[in-house]
Amino acid sequence: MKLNKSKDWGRILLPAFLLIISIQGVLFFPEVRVRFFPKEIWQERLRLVARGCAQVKASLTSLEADLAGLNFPSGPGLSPDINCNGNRETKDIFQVLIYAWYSMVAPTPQISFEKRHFLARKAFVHLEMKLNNLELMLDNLVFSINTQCIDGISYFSNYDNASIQKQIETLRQKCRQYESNLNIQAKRLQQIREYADKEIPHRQRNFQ
Amino acid sequence: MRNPRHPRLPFKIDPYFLVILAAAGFLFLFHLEHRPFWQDEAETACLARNILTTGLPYAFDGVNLISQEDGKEFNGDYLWRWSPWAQLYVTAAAFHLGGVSTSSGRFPFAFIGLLCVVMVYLLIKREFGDEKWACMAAALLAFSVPFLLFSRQCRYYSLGAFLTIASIYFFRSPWQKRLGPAFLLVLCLGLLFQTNYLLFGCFLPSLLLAAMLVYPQELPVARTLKVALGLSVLVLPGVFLYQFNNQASLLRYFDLFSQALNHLESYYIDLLQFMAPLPISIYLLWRWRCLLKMPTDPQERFVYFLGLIIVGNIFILLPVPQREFRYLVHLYPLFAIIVSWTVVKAYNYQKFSGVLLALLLLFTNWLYLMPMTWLKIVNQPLHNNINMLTHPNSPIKNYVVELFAEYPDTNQNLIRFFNQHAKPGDVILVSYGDLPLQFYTPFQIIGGLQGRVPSDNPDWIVKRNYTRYNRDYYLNKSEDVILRYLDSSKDYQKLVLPHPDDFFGNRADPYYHRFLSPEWMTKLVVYRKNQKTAYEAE
Repeated sequence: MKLNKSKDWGRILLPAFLLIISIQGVLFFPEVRVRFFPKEIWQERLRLVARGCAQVKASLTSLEADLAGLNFPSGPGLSPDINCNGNRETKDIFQVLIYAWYSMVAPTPQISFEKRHFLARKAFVHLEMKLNNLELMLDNLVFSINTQCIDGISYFSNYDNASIQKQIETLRQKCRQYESNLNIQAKRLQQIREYADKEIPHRQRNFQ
Repeated sequence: MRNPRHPRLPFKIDPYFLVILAAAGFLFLFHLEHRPFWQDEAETACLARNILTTGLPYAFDGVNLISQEDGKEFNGDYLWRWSPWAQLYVTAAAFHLGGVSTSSGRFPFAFIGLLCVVMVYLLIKREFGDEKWACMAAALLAFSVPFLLFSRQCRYYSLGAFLTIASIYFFRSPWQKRLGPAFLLVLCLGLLFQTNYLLFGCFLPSLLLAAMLVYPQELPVARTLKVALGLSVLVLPGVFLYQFNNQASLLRYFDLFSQALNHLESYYIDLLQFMAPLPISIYLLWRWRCLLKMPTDPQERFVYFLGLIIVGNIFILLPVPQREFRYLVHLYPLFAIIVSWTVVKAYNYQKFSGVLLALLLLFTNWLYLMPMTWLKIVNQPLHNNINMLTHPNSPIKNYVVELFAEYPDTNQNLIRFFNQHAKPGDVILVSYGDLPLQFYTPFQIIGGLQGRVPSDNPDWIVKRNYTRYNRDYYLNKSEDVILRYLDSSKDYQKLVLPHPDDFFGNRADPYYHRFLSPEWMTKLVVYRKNQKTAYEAE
C-alpha cells in the first residue's frame, strides 16, 4: 500500500491506537486474566502488593520527614514568642508547618495571627489526611495479602510455593513494620495537636 | 447554518433514538431506592419534608436541625438561605405527589436527567438534522455512568444540566425576533440561578463570551438588554434572599492563588478522566490551535462554541473555595455533543475506527483512563478498588450490577440498627451522617456538621472512622465532643457492627462511589450508654 498522504497514515494509526487500547482494556478484565493468564495475574497481584508497599513506604517516609521537621518542643526551653521574621530555623510550630507546606507563598512579617493560624490548621489537616490515607492503604494491603495472595497459593499448587510463601511473608513483615511506624507517627501528631490546643490561646495573646 | 428542512419541531424521530431512550429510561429510573440518601441528598429531602408542613424550607422542625455548615445556612428564624430553593420545591412536590420516600425524592431528578438525553438529541437534530450525531450524543449521555449516578441523586445536578442545555437550545432559537424563545431563554437562565447560583454564575458569562466570539451577529444589543432585564427580575430577589455574603465569607483571599492553580489542575484531570478523553481533547486542541480562527463548518463551529463555554466555566470556578466534581456535572450534555461529534467524524473517515471508538466510549472507560496512566498524569490510588470509575473497567456493567445487588450501604446499616435498637426519645450523637438518620429514623439526631452538641450525655454515640474538619480546618464540634465523651466517660459500651464504615454512602462522585462492597474497610462502631439500674438512678 502506498502511503503518500498524511490522511492515509491516519487510516492506519487511528485504528491501531484504538485496537491497542481495546486489547489492553480486555486484558484488564479479571475474568479474562484468570482464564488465560492465571500465573501472570497472580504474579501481578504480588507485584501490585509490592508496589503498594513501596507507596506506603514512600508516603510514610515523607510523613516522618514532615513531622521530624516540626522540631516539636517537648518541655522546658520553649520560647513563648512568635518569631515573625520568617526564619526557617524557628521552633514555632505554626511557622514550621507553614513553611513545610506553603514554602511557595512564604508568609511575610505582616501576616496576621489569624492567617497564620488558618494556614497552620490547614497544614495540620493535610498531615492528618496523609496519615489517614496511609492507614487506609495499609488496611487494603493487608487485606490483599491475606485473601488474594493466599488464595493464589492454594489454587496453583504446582507453582513454586516456597518462593511465593517467602515473598508473601516478606510483604507481611513489611506491612507490620509500617503499621508500627505509622502508630508512632499518629502518636506524634496527637502530641502536636495537644500542644497546639494548649499553646494557641497563649500565643494569640502574645501576638496581640 | 441551520438545516432548512428542520426549521422547527416536530420532526420525525428516528427508531434508533427510541431504542436509546428505552435503554436510558431503564438506566435512569430503575430501582431508585436501592440505597438510602447520603448526607447531601438527605439535606435536600429533610428540607423538602419541612416544606410540606410549613410551606417554606425551615432548617429546624422542633427536634432536629438541618445544617452542614455549623448553622451558617440560616438566621435566627431557621429559614434556609444557604442555597437556592428550586431543588427543594421540586423534591417537596415529588413528596406531595408520591409520598415521602427515597424513590419519590429521586424520581424528578432522574426523570430530568432523562430529559437531558432528549434535549441533546433534539438540539442536534434541529440544528443540523444529523441523525447519526444526534443519536450518538444521546447514547453517550445515557450511558455515561457518572452522569447517571449524579442524575439519580435527590439533588440539583440533573436540573442544572437540563437548564444548561435548554438555555443553549433556546439561545440557538430565534429569540432575537420571537417572544416565545426569548421568554424560554430567560426562564431557563432564571431557573438555573434558582437551582444553583454557582452554576449560573459560571455558565452565563461563559455563554455570553463564547457567543460574542462565535456568533456575534446573534447578539443584537437592544434585545440582549431586554433579556438581561427580564433575567434580573428572576435573579435579583434571590440575591437578597440567599445571603451571598455567607458563602463569600468562605473565600480566603491570601490563599487564593495557590488554591486556583491546584483547582485548575484537578478540574482538568477530572475532565479528562470522566468527560472528554485525553486523545479526543488533544485532537480538538490541535484542530483549534489557532484560537481566533473560527471553524467555518457550522457543525464544528457549534462544537467550538460549546468548548469555549466549558473552558469559561472552569476558569470561573477556580477561585471557588471547594473543588468538587459535581460543579462540572451540568456540562455533561455539552461534552456528549462534543465527543459524539468526534465519533461521527471518525466514522465518516473510517467506519471501523468510528464503530470501535463508539464502543469504547459507550461501554468502557479505557480511553479515558489508560492514556492518563500511560503518561503518568494520574496514579490510581491504591485504596480505589478495581470496580470504581477510577480504574479501567466497564462502568456500565458495574452500574447495572450495583442496581441489582444488595449493597451494604453504611447509612442503611446505621438506619436499620437504630430503628431496631433505639427507644423513642433517644438522643443519638454522630460525627457524620446525621441527616440520613434524621430522615429515616424518628429520633433526635445531633452532631454531624451541625455545630450543635448535646447538653447531656447522649444515649448513643457514633464515631465514624474518618475524621472530619470544618472549612476553617478546625476539628468538627461533634468529633471534638465525641472524643471528649469517650475519653472521660466510662458510661458507654462499644459495639462493633459487622458492616464497613464507608466514608459517605451513596455519593455519586467517581472518587468515592464503590459499585461493590469494600470488604476491607474498618467496621462501623456504635457506643451505647450503659443503662443505669434503678438503685443507681436514685
